[in-house]
Parts: sequence; structure tokens; C-alpha cells
Amino acid sequence: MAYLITQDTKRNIKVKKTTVTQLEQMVDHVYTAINGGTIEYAPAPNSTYVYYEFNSMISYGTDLASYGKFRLVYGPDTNNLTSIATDDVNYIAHFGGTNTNTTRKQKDTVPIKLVFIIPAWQGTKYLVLQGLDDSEGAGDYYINGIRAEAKYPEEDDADDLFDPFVIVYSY
Amino acid sequence: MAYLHINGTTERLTNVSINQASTPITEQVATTSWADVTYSSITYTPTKDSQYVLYEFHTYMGVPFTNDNECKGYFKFLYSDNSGSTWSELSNSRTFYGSNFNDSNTMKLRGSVTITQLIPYWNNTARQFKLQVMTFTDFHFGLHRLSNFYGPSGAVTPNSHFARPFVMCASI
Repeated sequence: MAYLITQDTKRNIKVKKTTVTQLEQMVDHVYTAINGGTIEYAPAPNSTYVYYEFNSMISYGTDLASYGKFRLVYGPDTNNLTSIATDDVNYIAHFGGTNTNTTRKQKDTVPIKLVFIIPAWQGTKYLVLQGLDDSEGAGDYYINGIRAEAKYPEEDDADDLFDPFVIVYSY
Repeated sequence: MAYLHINGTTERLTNVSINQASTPITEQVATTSWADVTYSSITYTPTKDSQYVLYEFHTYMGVPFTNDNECKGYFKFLYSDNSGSTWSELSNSRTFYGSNFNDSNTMKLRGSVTITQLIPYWNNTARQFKLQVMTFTDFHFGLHRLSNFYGPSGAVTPNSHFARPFVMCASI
């Protein structure tokens, strides 16, 4: 059996892995670039979409009801970024819980794999993952590792770091 | 089988290798000591001069069947260049799936989860990978089984689903 393949399904794959040196606390209520979430990319010619994938660990902070938000934006450089769609529809992801009931608060530490599909463009743009901590009260969230507190009591001597990585390709 | 690429480019996933359990497997319950994760092991030789190797392991995980509360699973990612005689840990690669409890309430976290790692290219020789898992005192963790689901009328039947976990490697 023979196949004639006129176009690869995944083209111009680009991978970027970032070595981190500290657990990053997400900034309260203001979108800020996530360390390891930015990549410069030019889609392959005649592409329809660009696939963006961010892999890391997210970990609750010192209080309860931790709640983190992410969005993907792009632009010609990292100082001129715009939303990919109106109100960032399809380019936002939320993690955690907002229930402030004193007996039902959420403290998650989980792997995250954020995936977005972006209509292809011509030329080079920077894709930037931004995040914020929208927790109520003193709740907070951390990215790119595991809080020591989550590992109580056997392994809680130090935070763990996770080197985040981005995979991008055209199709 | 033959392929003719007309408009291919040089950058893409190559040498994809996948191992999957042929049938759903039994639950693995973590303890407070490190143990190998069933079906997470794979031996892989990357495409020559790749940039990275992508490793993905997928299964069910979360609260176990016998104690469905306070769920925490802690993972480390190991590799061996001598067929498993000695193992090293990839730096900054530990992962975790769980949630702290609060007072007497339980957090019954569980789901279908993929653990993904990106390994810098070493050379064109075989390397073995695996995950290890542990949990913590007063916490519980199970793999490969989703169980204890409750609906409007109580326990759902069947209330256990078993996974066919798989592990994948590819060169980039």
C-alpha cells in the first residue's frame, strides 16, 4: 500500500524548555507573563492554525480557596500584545476554586497542560501566556513547581521546581 | 508500505513509540514509599540529532477505591542508560496530583491525567524511562481506576472503570 502525502499534519514544530530557579507566585489580579510561557513563532506557509501547548505544575499557596487564571495573547513583540479574540474567548483557562465556605475550600496541586488553537498569521509573532491570581482574601497560587506544604509530612523540606515547556506547530 | 512526501518540512515528531496495556489493568495503590508506576516504563532510542524527546504517560488517577478521600500522588521521573541497573532523576521534573483537605471535609479529586516530560536529546542510544509514585501520611492515592461515583440515586453502577494506561515517546 502506498500513500501520497502532500502536506505534513504538524509542521514547523518548535519547542522551548525553560530552566526555572524558583517557584513563581502568580501576581494578584493583574495579568503578568508566566515564566516559560513565551515563544516567538512564524507559522509554516499556507497553514490554517497554530497549535500552542504549555506544560507545567501549578500549586496552591499558603491559604485556601486558591484560584488562578491564564490567558494567551500575541503581538509583534512582548511590549505590544493584544487579545487573540474579543474578550479572550477560547484563550482563557481557570484553575482552582472560589468557594469561601470555611469547611469546603480547595487546595489543588496538579499538572497543567494548556492547549490553544490560534488562526495562523503571516510573519513572526510572540505568543505570550499570562497568568494572575484571582483568589479571594489571602489565597494565592504558584506556578512552575510544587509547594513544600503540599508534601507534608514525608517530603516537605523544600519546594520542588518544574521546568516548563512550550510546544508549538502549524497545521 | 511507502510514503512520498511532497510538501514536508524537516521539523516534526519522528520515531513515535507507544506502549499500551492490552486490557484494563488492576488498581495500583500508592504508599508512603516510592514505587514504580505500572506501565509507565518505556525504552526509547531517539532519532539522531533530535532536539528533545517527548514522554507522555496517561492513565486514571486520584482517590483509591478502598479509601476515597484526601488524595495526593507525588511522582518522580527516572531514566537509565544501562538497562535499569542504575537510575537517575531528570532535574526539575517532579509532578503531583492531589489536594489538601480542610478539617473533616474530603476532597475527592480524580480524573484522566497525562504526565508529560520533555527530555533534552542525549545521543542515538537506548534510554529507559519510568515514573515512581508515593503518597503521604493521612492521604491516599490510586492509579488506573476511577471509582466510587455517586449520582442522584446513590452509587453509580458500575462504579469502577479501569484504564488501559499508555506511555508514548517521540523525537522532536
